[in-house]
Amino acid sequence: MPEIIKYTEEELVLLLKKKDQQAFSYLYDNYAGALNGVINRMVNNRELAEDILQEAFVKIWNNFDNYDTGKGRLFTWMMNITRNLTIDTMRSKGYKKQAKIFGDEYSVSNLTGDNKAVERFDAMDIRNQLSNLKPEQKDIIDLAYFNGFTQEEISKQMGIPLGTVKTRMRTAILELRKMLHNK
Amino acid sequence: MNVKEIISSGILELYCMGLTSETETNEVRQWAAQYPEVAEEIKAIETSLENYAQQNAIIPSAPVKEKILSAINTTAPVVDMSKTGSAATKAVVKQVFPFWKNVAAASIILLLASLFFNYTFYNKSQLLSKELASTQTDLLKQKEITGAMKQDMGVMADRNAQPVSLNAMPDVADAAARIYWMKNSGEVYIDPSNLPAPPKGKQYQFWAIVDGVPESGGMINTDIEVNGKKVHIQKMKSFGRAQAFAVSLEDAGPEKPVPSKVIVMGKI
Repeated sequence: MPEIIKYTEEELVLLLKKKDQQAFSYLYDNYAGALNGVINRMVNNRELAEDILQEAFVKIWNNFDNYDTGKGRLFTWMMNITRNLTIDTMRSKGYKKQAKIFGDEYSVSNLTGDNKAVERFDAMDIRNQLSNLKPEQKDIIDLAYFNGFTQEEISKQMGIPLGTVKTRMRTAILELRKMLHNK
Repeated sequence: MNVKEIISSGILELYCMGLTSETETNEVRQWAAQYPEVAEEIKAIETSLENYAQQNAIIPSAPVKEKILSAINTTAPVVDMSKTGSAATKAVVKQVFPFWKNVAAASIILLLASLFFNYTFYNKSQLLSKELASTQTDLLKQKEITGAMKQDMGVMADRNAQPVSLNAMPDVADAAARIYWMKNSGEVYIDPSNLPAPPKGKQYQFWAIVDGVPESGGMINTDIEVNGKKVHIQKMKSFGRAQAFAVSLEDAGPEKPVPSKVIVMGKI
């Protein structure tokens, strides 16, 4: 995603609170890809992902008044809206039916760390950049961040005690921070 | 928990990923407000996750943005519903009204223009149909005149027509008539246009003198007028042979057996 900074996050938030459509267009250009990537990881269906992305951005626009800068970064808030919307979709009747038709490959429960569906979306350079991330570290981040798993689900999926999820997550993200900040 | 313990526990990471319970979330927010280091750490985690998501970005297809932008334009008033009812109503009116206002204005203008043209064209068409009717009447009259004149011309120009001039008798002031006698068929035509108008209660009778005896050739009509002009030439009874023709003035009524007062006469 090209990073042509036109607005600072503060400016962007201010304009979006005023329902500035140009700022919204900028928001889309800068964050749609990242959010779409997350949705794709979760539903593994490009068309459906774009439908959810569309719904998410409309929701972001309509509920922008609810965004509180004190509660976190803009992207975190958008990410939560998007992920919740995606989880709602995946829990809906229609989606479950579709997932059944396509087989277990597309169901949530099978998106483990060594799942090929997850890796399919990894671009070459990211893979190289993140190659220092241990598989279980990448898994725990992806399960939480990209698959929307709860702590309990992660614990079950990875076969680790619930209490360990927190510390494992801490280590994994510390590693991620190191890598992304040293690029 | 002190700041270090909070940071190293991993709860902030879970918080940033939206995996904390409501209680935990409130706890973390309290710490963030209380300790700048915690807030700073949260920001760092958020940024790293944001970068991670950007690294895994999948650019959506082009129409998605268009769909979103058109969706927010149509749902814009819905947003204001959450504020106050009146604001929402205002927004709706603002969005929809100008369009319909323009449509209504355009409709009225078109209607007025249409009415104006209807009125103008109706008047014009009324005028034209009146003019057409009068023109047709004129044409009909002209045709009648032309027809009568053609008939006159036909009689005069016939190569078998022998003209006979009837001149006024000595005791008559000023009168004349002309006969066209068709030698082949015996038909007799008279042009009475130079006879004076008969006095009231009188009319002219036509005679042929055959072997010294006057025979009636019929009454002459001096009343028929076409378009203000007297019919010039009219057909009388046919005579195979005659030595002279005459016109007499008689009392109005049926033909008389003998002429009472001869006005004009002419020999063949």
